[in-house]
Amino acid sequence: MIEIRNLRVVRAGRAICCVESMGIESGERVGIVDGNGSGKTTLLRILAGLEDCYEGEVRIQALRRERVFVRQAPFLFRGTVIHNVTYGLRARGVARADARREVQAMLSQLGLERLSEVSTRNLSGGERRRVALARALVLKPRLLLLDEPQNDLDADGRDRLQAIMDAVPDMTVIQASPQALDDGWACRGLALSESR
Amino acid sequence: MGFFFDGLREAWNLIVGLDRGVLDATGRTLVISVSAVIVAACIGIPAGAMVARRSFVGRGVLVASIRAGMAVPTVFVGVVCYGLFSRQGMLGPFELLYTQRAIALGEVVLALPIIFSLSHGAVLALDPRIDETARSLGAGAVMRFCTDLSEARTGVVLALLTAFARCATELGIALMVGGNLAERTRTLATATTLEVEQGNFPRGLATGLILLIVSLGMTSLVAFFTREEDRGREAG
Repeated sequence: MIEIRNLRVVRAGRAICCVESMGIESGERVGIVDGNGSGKTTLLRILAGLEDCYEGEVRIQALRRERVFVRQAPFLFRGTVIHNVTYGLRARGVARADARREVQAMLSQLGLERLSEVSTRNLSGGERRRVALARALVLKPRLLLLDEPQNDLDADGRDRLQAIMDAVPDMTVIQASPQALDDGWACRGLALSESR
Repeated sequence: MGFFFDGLREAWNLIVGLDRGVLDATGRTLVISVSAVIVAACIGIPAGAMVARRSFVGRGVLVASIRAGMAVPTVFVGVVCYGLFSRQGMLGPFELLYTQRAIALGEVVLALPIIFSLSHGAVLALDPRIDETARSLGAGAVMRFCTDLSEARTGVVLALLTAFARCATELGIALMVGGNLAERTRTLATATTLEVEQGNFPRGLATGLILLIVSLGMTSLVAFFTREEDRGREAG
């Protein structure tokens, strides 16, 4: 699904992300575990199509709208939780009633159903993280890119997220983290510094 | 001092007694200013937001020039509009001079730089993650533009209120292109000037007081929205 060769990203004269060779199959769940400043986030941004200034070859067998990136510090739009989680579905032209139904199901899977009408201003860090994940997962992307997904999530949140990912075996998931991921979160681990 | 307080008492009676002349000028001022702000908003908000999101050669010069427009004296705008609307002017055939439409058009020129600059500033100050998040969720250009405006709505509302306050209280344009014609183009500002010039101090004070109330009302709304925005930032 993803083929990377000789990827090199240089900013202000400094190489911030280098990957000699990397291949990821469809449906794989990969963890990129590396230290701070190793270029994990930059790689995820490139794969999400948010960064196009790089050298090398990156081939992805998924359209731009089939990939979703969840940032380390996710941004939630003003308004309610449901307004945020329906955002991507509205962008895809999904009918209002269908979107609401799908969103309600996703919110309950992540334990957020009681927060659907709550303003995003009034959420805790962990709740904000869950809302950002719900907003991404409801789109059923072919490629899900998660930057430090276990941050701010308690054990219940981690279990729920893992269960959702397990339920969609076709979804390719790439997770970046500075620490080792929990058991079952990734089938394979990659370290960027080894690729440099 | 007695002269002032007598005038104030009489002015109060005129306002409370819903004096026809005072009400007439108030209604006209509101209609003209609201129309001008609506037209200026239709141009200024999208233009300001777009310039904030797109980078192109000369963007800095364009923004600086429009910002400078916020400080242009209303009398100067009035003179330029007079030149355009008079019989010999470019827009002479439309016979706009000494009409409410002429005042409204002049006020559009006054409001446009305010609405453009403040909307531009509001969108420019947005969190850069907004655009990235919207793109990542598959939003197209139009949806991202709407998202920007929604996120910057407090700033946009402030822009509209500021522009309205400036239009409602301006004198130069209304006097130059409106001509201060009774029951046709007389606004609160021109009525105040005329009444005082004619020695009718209480009536001048009455229209001046309404102008002050409009201005204070707008300032209070601006303060309210700014406080709401600050609260939101603290909570977010």
